[in-house]
Amino acid sequence: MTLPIEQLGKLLVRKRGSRGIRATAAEIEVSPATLSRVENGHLPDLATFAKICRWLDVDPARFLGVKASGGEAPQKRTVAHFRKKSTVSPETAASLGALILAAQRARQARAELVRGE
Amino acid sequence: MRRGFKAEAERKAASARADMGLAATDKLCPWQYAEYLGVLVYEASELDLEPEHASQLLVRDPDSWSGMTLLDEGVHVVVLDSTHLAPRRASTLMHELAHIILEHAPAEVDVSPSGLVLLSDYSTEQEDEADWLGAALLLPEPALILLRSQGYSIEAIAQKFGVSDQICHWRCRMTGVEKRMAFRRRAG
Repeated sequence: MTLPIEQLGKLLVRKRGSRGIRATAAEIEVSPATLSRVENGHLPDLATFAKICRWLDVDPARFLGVKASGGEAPQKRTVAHFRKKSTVSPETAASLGALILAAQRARQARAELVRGE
Repeated sequence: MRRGFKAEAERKAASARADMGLAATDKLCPWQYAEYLGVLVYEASELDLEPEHASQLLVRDPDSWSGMTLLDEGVHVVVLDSTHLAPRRASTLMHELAHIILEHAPAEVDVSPSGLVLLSDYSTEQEDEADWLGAALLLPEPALILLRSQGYSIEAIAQKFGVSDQICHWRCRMTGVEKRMAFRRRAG
């Protein structure tokens, strides 16, 4: 079953229980500030996400909704990288997702224009 | 940073200038260099972004990000935060071009069922390399030596090369240009 990514912070809070944020962060191998932000609903980068999933003992694919067998050709896949803060609010993360789609549309429109000439 | 990388970065920056027909001490415009590399560059405000997302990224939370690089069907696209001043955009763009030149591979992006995106990262090592090469492309060491020895201030050099004072200070310190200048002053 797929878990909504918004559940990540709640799962962390539940598993941490009454233990201190510093001790837990050290165990996960992230900074206390990062752990606190993720618990408060901010989204982590992939490296932090992987560490948190390992600590929670949850398969990352359950959050991502990724299918096990990727039949898509590698060259068709889109890869994106952001230069940004280590965690961002869910609103900004959603908008950065929209930015990827807008950039893809711009590239496609330009490619069509070049082909049409 | 891996052994020998700094010297390699200086060589790459020098050959980038040569490829563009520039002298070793000339300014290399990041936008012209992107065009030369076949990289498309957009300002976020130029894109057909839904108003709520444009407002989130450019009005409510513009400091949370500075750029994005996308590899889509073999083409690199860089999107810059249009609210940032030109020196910062130049630095972001050159940093992203450095990742492309160095063929760094970020983790792939996955969109969760609720439409949220998990944000990928380069390794710290790759970020350090891109910082170094990006700065070398913006501020060539021969120009720093020449201009500092002619009495130009770091701020004047920053302005001449269209970069922030901060990155120019960092580059003069990290390349040892400042130490050499101090040594010369003592010797003279």
